[in-house]
Amino acid sequence: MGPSRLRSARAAGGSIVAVLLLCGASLLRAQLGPLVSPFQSPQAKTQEELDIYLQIVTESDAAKVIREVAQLAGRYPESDLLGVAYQYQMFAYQRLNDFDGLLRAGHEALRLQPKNLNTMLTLALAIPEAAGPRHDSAELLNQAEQYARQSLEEIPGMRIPRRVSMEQWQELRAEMTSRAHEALGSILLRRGNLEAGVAELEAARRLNSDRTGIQYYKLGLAYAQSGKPGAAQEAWQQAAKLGPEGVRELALKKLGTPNSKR
Amino acid sequence: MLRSCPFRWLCCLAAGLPLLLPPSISRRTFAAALDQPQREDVAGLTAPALAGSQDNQLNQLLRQKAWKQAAELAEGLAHQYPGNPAYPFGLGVAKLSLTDPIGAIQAMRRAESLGLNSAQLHINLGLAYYLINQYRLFRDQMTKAINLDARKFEPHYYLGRYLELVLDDVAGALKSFEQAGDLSPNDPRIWYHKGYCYKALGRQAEAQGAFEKAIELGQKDDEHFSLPFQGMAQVLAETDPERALQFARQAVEREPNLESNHLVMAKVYERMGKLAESAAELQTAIKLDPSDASPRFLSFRIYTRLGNEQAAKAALDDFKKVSQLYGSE
Repeated sequence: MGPSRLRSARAAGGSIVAVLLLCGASLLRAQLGPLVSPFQSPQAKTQEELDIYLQIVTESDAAKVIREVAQLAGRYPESDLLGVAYQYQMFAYQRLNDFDGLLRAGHEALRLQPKNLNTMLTLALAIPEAAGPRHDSAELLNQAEQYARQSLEEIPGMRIPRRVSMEQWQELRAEMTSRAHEALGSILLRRGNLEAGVAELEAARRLNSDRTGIQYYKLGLAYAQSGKPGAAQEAWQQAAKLGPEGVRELALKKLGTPNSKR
Repeated sequence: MLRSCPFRWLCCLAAGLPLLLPPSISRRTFAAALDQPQREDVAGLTAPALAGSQDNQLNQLLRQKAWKQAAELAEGLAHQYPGNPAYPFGLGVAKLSLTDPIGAIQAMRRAESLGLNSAQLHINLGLAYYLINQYRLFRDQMTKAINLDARKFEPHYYLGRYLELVLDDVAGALKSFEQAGDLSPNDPRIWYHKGYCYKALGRQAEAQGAFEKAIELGQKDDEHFSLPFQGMAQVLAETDPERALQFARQAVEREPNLESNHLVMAKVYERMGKLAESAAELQTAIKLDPSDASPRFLSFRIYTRLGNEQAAKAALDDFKKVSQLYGSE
């Protein structure tokens, strides 16, 4: 994700949550894109239906994406393309820092495509970051855990298009597995299970060759909560070094007060 | 024959085995295997009042396959003359060639909404739909093209490729290729695909005749077209392996980077009992397309026959891994 979007997320949401939500998902979105086999492609029944879908796919304005998905659902309620369209809507809500919208769209996407890893991982990562103050947070965390664990079950059996090389797939698989562990780590920390949460985040970090700082940042928070300020400092230093910009800002802020608790 | 069972596609899916594709053309490379987009002179579509030097320039760029420049010019002209369908059509053709099927679809849909309704438009739009795996819309567009201009062979040819590759409907594909061949009797590619279908249907003599015709015609206009040679090698592998090997070699000479040429050569060597040579060809095939499981299974067979248990086990493990990962695509 670009620094400007991170900055605008910070400005709009003013929260760490907004940055963390955005960091995880855009990466997944970009990386899971190619994992669509031609033989799994949903089919449009009419040209007009596909026209709307292509508008959704090519639109960069999140608010417009949300409206266009609603238009597709309204005009073509039986469309095979809706499952993927709701995924785009979920990402659009995420960009707007609208957690309720993200949940709604994600659940719709999963209703239509129950084993969609992209959606499951996005929800699993987003829920623990945003569910904290909600009255239904315990229920949501259970859902997120289910998505993360189901993702871990589904990833090894995935079939991939031949245009993705085995080397690329190994990286992608490690990335997805890492994200699932990251989600589990965040969920466990939310529940106050520090030791298990740290272990999951460390597993996530080990698996991930992605050189961004978001997981180091989260690990730093976990270490700080566990009373390991030295380890927290090291993790935040890595996060500040690796960025991207929004994460760097958060990490530097933490480094100013290394013992601060979330 | 590898593709004799009409339900083999489903069987392979269920068994988790790789689908063996038509020689040399994998599903992955189908996009690349599609012929050039169907160009049409933009000037022919332009209202006389607007026809001018820019139209000629656009036509020239399209003919020269200068796709990027053509796209830029067509886009500019489409903005300048928003009521003229020729420019979004030209833009669509250029975008299709630039492997931007979504951009191509959007441009050609604009041309369609402005009143363009030609066979060329529908063929190109259909190809763009195919490239994003929208097979239903692809078929609709090819049917429209046929209804608009019954003399065009391309829609039949593309429908044949679709039936062969996506639906594994070899008999249906053959009908389409025969229709295409009636309209364009000297096209070596159509003859090759007819041969392929004949072979898949167990009609060996007709397959051989079609491959020979494809070779004869191909020598005139495309010296790199290796598939008919590969087809001949396959047809002759059982009955005359020495001649089959000659054809297999000619196929490799013409297109050395085509994985299936090496796979066929390996099979011919195996038939001749030249197992070490076969193993070497299989290694080349694996290198050229690591996502194809079939040379790995053949390697397992060859190494087993050579008594090299360790290599055989490694090949079988690789076969299972690749099959599981890529499935039947």
